[in-house]
Amino acid sequence: MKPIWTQAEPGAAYSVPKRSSWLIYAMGGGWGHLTRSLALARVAASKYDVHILTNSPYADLVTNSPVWQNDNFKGINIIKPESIRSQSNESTSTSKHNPAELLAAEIEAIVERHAISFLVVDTFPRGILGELPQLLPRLGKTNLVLVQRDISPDYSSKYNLLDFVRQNYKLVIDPGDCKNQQLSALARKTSAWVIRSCEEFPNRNNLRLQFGINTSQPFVLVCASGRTEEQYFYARITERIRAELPEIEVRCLSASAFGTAVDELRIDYWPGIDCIYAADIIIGAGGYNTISECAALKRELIAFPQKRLYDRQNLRIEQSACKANSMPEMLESLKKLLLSGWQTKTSTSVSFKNGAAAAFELIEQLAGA
Amino acid sequence: MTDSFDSLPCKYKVGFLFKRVCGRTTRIGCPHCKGGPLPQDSSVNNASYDPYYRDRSYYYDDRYNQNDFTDYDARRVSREQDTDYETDLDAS
Repeated sequence: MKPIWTQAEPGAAYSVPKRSSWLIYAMGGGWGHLTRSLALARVAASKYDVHILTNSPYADLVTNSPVWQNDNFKGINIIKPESIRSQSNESTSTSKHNPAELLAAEIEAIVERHAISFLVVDTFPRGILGELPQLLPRLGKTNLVLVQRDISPDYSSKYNLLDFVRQNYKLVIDPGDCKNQQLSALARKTSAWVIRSCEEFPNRNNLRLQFGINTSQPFVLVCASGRTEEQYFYARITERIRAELPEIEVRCLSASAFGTAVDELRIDYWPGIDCIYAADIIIGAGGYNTISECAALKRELIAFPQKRLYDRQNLRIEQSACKANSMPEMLESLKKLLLSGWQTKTSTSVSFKNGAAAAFELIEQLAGA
Repeated sequence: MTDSFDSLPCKYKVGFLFKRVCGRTTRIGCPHCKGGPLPQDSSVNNASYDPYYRDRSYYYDDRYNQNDFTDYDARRVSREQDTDYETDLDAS
């Protein structure tokens, strides 16, 4: 997608002045890096052209969704790294190039092609392949910003991230999440970032009808987030809730169909925060977005901590959700919630502070610094 | 054997949130009484319905532990462990 305001008609007497550009580095698996970056990009796109570099397997689902087509996502350009894709098509025995070097070269080319004035790196100060240390010193004119989601202290100490971040980034922002004490001390903290602002949510009753909820029974949403291979884990949870609690409404938000009876309960929709808004109780994992969105909308969350290389879902869940380590634990927590008066706890009004707006202001201040 | 067990359709009260008459015309394959009579003080009995009492024994049935959580799941939800950093593009 090319931003509409950079497209000058042939023969036009004048063209619209080109705006400054951002590149948000959102490399990494699952939904988290992409969704958090989109939350910031939506705010920044009001003044800048925003490019997002992502290898999320869900990127096409986002750009093909009706909400992306119809809502205000103009000015945001999703870029998938070509170097990584071409590498994966080659056999490793014939590949002559280091993937980190290829990715660094591709990022540098994007920065030059789009005259990037702000490079905002999500989560990984050194890059997902450790490719940024060789690149960042070459980007002298670009403002370098790090969005420091929580990250494993083992990783940060092993690679001495504290010194690296100090030496290379002009600004570090904690999107309401970083529990890594060393890195957190470098950061300016904001509220959690979410992809919608309060006034942007669709009508809740219409959403429920769209998801096939036409009763007043409690609506439990199972969020099949995370890696694509983890989807069936959530399908089994959905099946079990349906079998155990046939009186309630259960749906599974999933990017792809399962090929089983659970597909009758599947919701194919983006962005997921709308589904959370429509639901009463959420079952999911402990990723940044699930936790942040449930907290913003004041939804009860029962969360399974998923094992991640850098992220620490256990910590996040222990602070903000009800933890489940097994199916029986999840079911018992769910039943307790249902018995505790779910009707009075579900908030239909929306009131939260979106940290993405504060982050945008912090980043913009760099331009005048 | 209780009075309820003698007659069909089944008159046991079942359901977690919204108690209702079971109404099954056969006990074969029933997830509540499992084909057998329930004692008078059973949690599924109308007189003393306690979902947690019933569910605890039901949940921790080996059949469910084996089927619901695979070894793969157990490894995933365990605490994070040190592995090779900066090699996996799909890491998070």
